Amino acid sequence: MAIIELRGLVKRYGRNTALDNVDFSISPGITGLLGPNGSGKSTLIKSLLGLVRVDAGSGSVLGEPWPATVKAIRDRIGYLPEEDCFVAGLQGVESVQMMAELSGIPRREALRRAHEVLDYCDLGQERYRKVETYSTGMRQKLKCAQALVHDPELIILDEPTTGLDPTQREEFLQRLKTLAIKHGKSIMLSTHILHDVRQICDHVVILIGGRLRVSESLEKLSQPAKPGLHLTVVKEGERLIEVLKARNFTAHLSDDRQSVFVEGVTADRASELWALCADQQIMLQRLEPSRNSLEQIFLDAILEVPRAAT
Amino acid sequence: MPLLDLGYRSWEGTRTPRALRWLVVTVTGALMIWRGYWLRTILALSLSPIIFTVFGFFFFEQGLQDQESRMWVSQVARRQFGMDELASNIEHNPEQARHEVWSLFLLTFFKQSQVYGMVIVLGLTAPRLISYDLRSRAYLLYLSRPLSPAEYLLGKASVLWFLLLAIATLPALCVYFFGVLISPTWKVIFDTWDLPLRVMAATIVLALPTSALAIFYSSMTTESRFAGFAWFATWIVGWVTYSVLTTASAIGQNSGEDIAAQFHRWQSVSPFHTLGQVQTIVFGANGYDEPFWVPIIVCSAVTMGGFYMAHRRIAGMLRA
Repeated sequence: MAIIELRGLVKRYGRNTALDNVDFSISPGITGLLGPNGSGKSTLIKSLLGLVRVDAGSGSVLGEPWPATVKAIRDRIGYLPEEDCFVAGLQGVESVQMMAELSGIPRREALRRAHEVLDYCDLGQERYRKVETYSTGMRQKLKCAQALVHDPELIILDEPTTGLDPTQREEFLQRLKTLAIKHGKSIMLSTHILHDVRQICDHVVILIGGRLRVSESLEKLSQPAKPGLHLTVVKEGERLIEVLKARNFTAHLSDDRQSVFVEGVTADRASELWALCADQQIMLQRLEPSRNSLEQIFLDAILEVPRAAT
Repeated sequence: MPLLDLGYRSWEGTRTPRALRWLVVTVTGALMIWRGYWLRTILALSLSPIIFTVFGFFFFEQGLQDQESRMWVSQVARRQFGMDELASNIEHNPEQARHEVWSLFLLTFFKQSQVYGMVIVLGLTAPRLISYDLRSRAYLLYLSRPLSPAEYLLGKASVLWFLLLAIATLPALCVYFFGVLISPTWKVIFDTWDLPLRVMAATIVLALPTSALAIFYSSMTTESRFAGFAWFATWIVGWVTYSVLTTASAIGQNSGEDIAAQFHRWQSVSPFHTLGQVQTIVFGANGYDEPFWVPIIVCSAVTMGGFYMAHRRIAGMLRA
């Protein structure tokens, strides 16, 4: 069952159409929401949360009719906004507790959960400092704790890894993966960092100019139109191509000239190629099936190019 | 290394009713205000005028048995409030004058002292209530929970109502019950049962327009000092304008009644005098021919306009 199913979503700001008849459906798991600046990602998220009133559209979120019951939906969603936002004057733990209470958790339990979630989000004793003294990374962790404290079924994260150092970013992504796999949370990750999407997402939605351009599982998107294998060798690329052509393979240097691409060959013939390289004394460094890169998928979506094999 | 690491824990308890979540905004706001030492001191100081009301109640009840106290209260009514009829009533039939005297003391407490207290306390607390949230974009955090902009404003306004309750309503009710306790007979409850209700009504009259105005100013800027400046300027400029206009109009008037009419003619330009007039009506002491609906309309318009504009501003921020 889809956790988000929207039909005919339209949102206009004056003459500017931010979302133009968007239809999409998202299954449980981690979904990456991609799009260039101004493509309507934040408007889509705000529409989902009922923070902006849409001009048209209907559907359901977590099985609740949308937008009729946005308040009930908000109780079941954890939202990490892109903006640097905090309640000035409160300590970190107090602000997480307040968010839990706003989501209906009784006061004492809210405090207990605030501490647990801050531990989970790796915010230590800084939780007793006023939030306006926090660094950007700390604020991201705090916002994450605020999004998780009421145990939401759907977590919407808008640029969540901004301001985190590489180690913290890696830990953060692992945490999201754990939440999705171990705790059954559905996550919508809006980001510009394609690496993050590639690392943890199951599903990708690409918005361009307020229109839905792609909504597909990452696995499916990554499959090239034509199968093939990439063989990376040390210095002997040209010789490998000759050897392969002599054996009736179609081979050429890949676009980035870093590997040899063998067309029309699936992974079950990898051992054959492996043995061939061994016979010809060619040092094979890497052998991998051809996949569409997320960068290429994204660029194709922007340029409206049909997806092709790389 | 933590001694105990629960990791992520699911939660399946019963949630509090959605309709009451705005109370969290109120409680958090009130707790934050309560942390300020200076504000606590000012709150305590703003309670001090209640001593005069307590003395008034005490001397009046004492006057039922003691001629000297009775004369003192009647002199206050005559000299301070210019109410000869009431003064005569106090001297000759104090039991009958009780309701009017208690009303007068409570009205004075509200009208003369608590409005000043309210201006100072709200002037120190209200400007940052929403402007800080606008500056730090905290409204996004609040409104991503099951709160509408109207409930958010209700929660913020309730912080101000809580403060007004603390500096005006509770002391007034305490004084009323003090009066009941020191009066010689329990019959006093039947004579004055409406006064607690009038205190509540006077609180509403005080709280609604003032909080709407304060919330409006606070929501219009991300700089709380501008909101604070606008708040104090409204009261001071209103007062000065009223004084200048009434003085200018009163020149050349012959009778006392004509002069009094000029004083009432311009009261709508001063929030202080408009509020005072509505409170006078609430305590049943409106002795002038001035149409009573003018200040009521002014207060209602400020209340509705203030909250409407603040709501528009908050809802508009979400579209940005």
